[in-house]
Amino acid sequence: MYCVRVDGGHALGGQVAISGSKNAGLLALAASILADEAVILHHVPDLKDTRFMGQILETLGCEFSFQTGTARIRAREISGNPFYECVRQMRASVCLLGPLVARLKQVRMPLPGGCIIGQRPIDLHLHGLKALGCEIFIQNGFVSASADHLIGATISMGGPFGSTVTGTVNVICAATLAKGATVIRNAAREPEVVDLCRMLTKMGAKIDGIGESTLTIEGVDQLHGACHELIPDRIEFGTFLLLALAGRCELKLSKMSLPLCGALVDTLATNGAVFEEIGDFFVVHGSRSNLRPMRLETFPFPGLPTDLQAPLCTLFTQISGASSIVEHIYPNRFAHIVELQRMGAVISMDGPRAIIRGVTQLSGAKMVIPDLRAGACLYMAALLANGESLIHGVHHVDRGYENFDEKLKKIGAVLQREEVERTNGGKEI
Amino acid sequence: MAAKKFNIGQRRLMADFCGIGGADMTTMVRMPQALGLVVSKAIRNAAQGSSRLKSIQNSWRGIVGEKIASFSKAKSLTQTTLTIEVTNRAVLQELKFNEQKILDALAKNAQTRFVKKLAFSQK
Repeated sequence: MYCVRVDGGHALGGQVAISGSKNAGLLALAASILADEAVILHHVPDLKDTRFMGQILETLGCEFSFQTGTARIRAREISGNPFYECVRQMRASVCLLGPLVARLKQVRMPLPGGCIIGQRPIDLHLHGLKALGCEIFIQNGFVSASADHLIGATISMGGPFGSTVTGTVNVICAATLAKGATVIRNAAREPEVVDLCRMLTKMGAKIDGIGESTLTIEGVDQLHGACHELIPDRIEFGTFLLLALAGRCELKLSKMSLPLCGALVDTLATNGAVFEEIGDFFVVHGSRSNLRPMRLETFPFPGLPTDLQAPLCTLFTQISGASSIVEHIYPNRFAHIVELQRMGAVISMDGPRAIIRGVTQLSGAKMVIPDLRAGACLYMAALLANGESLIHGVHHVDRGYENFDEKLKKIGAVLQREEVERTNGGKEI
Repeated sequence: MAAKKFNIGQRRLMADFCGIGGADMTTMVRMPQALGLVVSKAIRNAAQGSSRLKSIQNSWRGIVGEKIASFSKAKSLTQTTLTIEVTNRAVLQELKFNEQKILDALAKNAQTRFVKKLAFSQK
């Protein structure tokens, strides 16, 4: 286990290469088992989660290899079911549900259970698969799904907090091999879903309406192998963008197709952020930006992504006045607030709304990262703070940010990873 | 081995050759008539340990199932700790989750009931 010691307050600046999208990678890896030929994915980030997904695929009988950003998967003969611990450790493994039902006609998978950021049931996933003809049984914490034949149907994937991304993906995957046409209404429109649809199209799937809230999928008998390059990680892009604004520094980020960012860039530009596209780079002029307080809310794409809510909180501590953010997707996703307050941030909570007053000079502190995106938020705060911070739980960040420490050091951050001493019980000291 | 009197130098050489150290070495050096006993004990222990590990390796597939067995093996045995080598992190997580079940299965067999703890190494 490791912690990170951060010496805050150093000037930041330079260039950041944005990695391939973790979320798109996980969805693509899961969907690759729909074909029995090799699927080759490029621009795959080298993360614990992507490697873990690869190892899960191996336990299902797939051939999996990964080297310098390229993953090769061949699901020639697959069998079995994902382990309980795999689904518990990585909820994204629930995206195997649809592809396994489509290929094997049956699957028994553990229900994902609780998550620190909030309730995340899979009832919409099961509703979608049921509509395609699956028989669903839930017993002893496991869901069994089976169908002799999947048959196209009209399905709505909308839920109380918007459309479900992983639910949409499970149904899309199952529908590609179903008999007849499937119409998915209120489909999630996140760029990662769009990227998956493009990959499936290369594999021979027939999908109309990619990027829209209504998808029409004409089932085929089988899919074939393909090569596909993943989209860049818009959350990593957004994190560094927010860091540049909070730190009042200049950062050149690898160019991102701005429609992938949804409302983020436009919202910040409207409120005083200065950006420029120069050649292959998206330049954030943090020092020239004069940000005004903002009142923002997280929504499904193309709205402000929930995954950037935590880093936005850190940014707001550096904006003069009162800013607020309402979390609509996971209303309890505020575990980072307490840690920011320990660093001196002035934050009050009103239900799912965080009200943050700036400008606050944060001060270094010992912190524990509660989840992945909170980790990015606390890293940002530590870099901006006066003095030294000691951040525990950095394994959370390793799940979703490729070479995060190295990328930060390259732009001037002073930080060092240290091994944590363990007590006899194996807990961190 | 028949009891025989050796001088201290010879006893030290023999202890070294047999890979005997610590208290057994001291016993051998101080009590020449125990040389045979100590060496026999060491050989017996080594053979027993090897046979116990072999027993576990032979029954491993039956204990954990075909799928997990194809990604793991019983690697080594020390006193009461069995070290399992795993080639897949997903399988490692599942083994850790089912640690008690595996220990319970080992406890049912006279040859393997001495195993009280599992350790894991990832290849």
